[in-house]
Amino acid sequence: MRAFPEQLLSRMRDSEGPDFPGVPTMPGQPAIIGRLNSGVYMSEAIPAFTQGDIEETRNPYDVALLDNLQPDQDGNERRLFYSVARIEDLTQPAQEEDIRYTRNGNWSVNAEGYLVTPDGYYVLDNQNQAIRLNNDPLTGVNVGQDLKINQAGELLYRDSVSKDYQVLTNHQRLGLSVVTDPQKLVREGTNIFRYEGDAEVKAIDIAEAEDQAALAAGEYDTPTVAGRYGTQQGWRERSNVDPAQTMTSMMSVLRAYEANQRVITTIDGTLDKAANEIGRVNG
Amino acid sequence: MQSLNISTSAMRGIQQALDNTANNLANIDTNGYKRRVASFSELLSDSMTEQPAADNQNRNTPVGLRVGSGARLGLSKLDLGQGNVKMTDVPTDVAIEGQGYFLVTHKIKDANGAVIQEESRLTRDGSFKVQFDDDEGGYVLHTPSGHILTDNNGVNIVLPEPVQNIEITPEGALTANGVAYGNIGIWKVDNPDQLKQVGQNLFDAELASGENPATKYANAIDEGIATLRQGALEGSNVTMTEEMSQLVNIQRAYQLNSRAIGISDQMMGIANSLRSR
Repeated sequence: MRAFPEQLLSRMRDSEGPDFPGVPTMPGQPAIIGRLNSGVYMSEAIPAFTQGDIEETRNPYDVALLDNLQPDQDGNERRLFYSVARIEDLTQPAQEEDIRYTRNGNWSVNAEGYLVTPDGYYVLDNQNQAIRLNNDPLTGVNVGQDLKINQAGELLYRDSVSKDYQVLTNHQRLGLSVVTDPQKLVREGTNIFRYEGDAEVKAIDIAEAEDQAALAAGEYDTPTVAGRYGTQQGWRERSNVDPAQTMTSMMSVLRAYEANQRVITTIDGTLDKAANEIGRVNG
Repeated sequence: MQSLNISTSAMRGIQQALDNTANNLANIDTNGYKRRVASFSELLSDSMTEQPAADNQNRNTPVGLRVGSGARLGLSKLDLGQGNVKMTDVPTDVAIEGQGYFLVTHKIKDANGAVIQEESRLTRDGSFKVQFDDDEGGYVLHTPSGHILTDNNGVNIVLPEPVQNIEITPEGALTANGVAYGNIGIWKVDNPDQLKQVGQNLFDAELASGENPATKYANAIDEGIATLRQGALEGSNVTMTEEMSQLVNIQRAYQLNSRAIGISDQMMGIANSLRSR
């Protein structure tokens, strides 16, 4: 909540004039009373990007994102997101301006074999390409249910000949992005965010390399990115809504609303007195 | 009062999630049933931009006030985990261990008995019965829904007589009294989420009449991802505790949303009583 812009109150046509020490009193000048706000309005709803609880689903296409990235050197919060996009030409990487961010790792595979979010956004790999698991014309690999995603977000499939797991040749890793100052993300609905801040959204490998370099240069002692994140396949991240907190904030909103109603009723009461009782002749 | 609509949309979604859980619980004893997991998705978000110009400074978030408009049931995914295997010791009961499906067919006939089309279905339910089939002129392995089990070329398996001593190896080879009658086909489906559930424990295989399933699906036994177990049935993969805790979750989420509606209602009541004296 934020107050409406302030107004300066003053008393017009004052017979005494403002009383400034050391200045002669000049009648007829407006006397400054003070400042007043004419109400409040809702200015912003700040999203909280704290980690939600994770829940086991045992589904190979559910991937929970866990992160505990430390703030950067300017003290800005950093959070990890999956990169997703709506792409027209699926043979090309997603355009920079089309990339959106989400924490929702509850995916499925569509009829063409691409990994998609519940709302049809393509999940991107680290080259910003849509990840194709089945019927890939380039490799001919059908990953199917045998997809493995390790802690670093690397995508592995089970080779039908050698029967062991190998990294997918053209989609090696999930597209994980480090968003600095995530409050600059604009909520587009359907769990999708667009970044409108000034900081650069970095891919996780770049952020990790920078972190390692800074560590080697002795800028700080403990890593702030490396080893502080992970993907967990077969699990999904639930919402971070706390029911108890939500309930109490609903109750306090209700009471604040009621208090304002009381103010109106009170003013109505005084106006009632002024209009109907003052000057009444017969008691 | 957006909050009324928001909570109503959430309650509708939660109601559907409850339906999903109820269906899982109802099929807890269905052979080869795979549970579905419901998940929610956020609805569109409104962005209100009519804010005082002075507001553009000292903000944490980009300009505009974004208010969500609720939630809906986004996705209900199949959980393809292995169901419990229960021993029945019936020689024609077969459980699939690992991935893959049996392919079963059924001939649809018109009133004159002429075959219109052959429908092919996939199933995990391996409770077969040996029965005589007029079309095949022999004994076939029937599912409870009346579909006939096929071999690894998609051809119906036919036995010349109601043989005893059926033996099925883990690789699917079917023999009776030492005579081989082909291999049971187990088909790997890359993306079972896209399969259409047609009821009676069956999925639509989406094959044309007489089409060889090998053109569309890989052989799961050759890929080494499935083995068969004779004398056993695969139960459902629904676990009571999981569904019950889901039920508790759903109920509380429903309650929380109905409280939100209650509070919106109270606020409207307050607004109505502004001038009630």
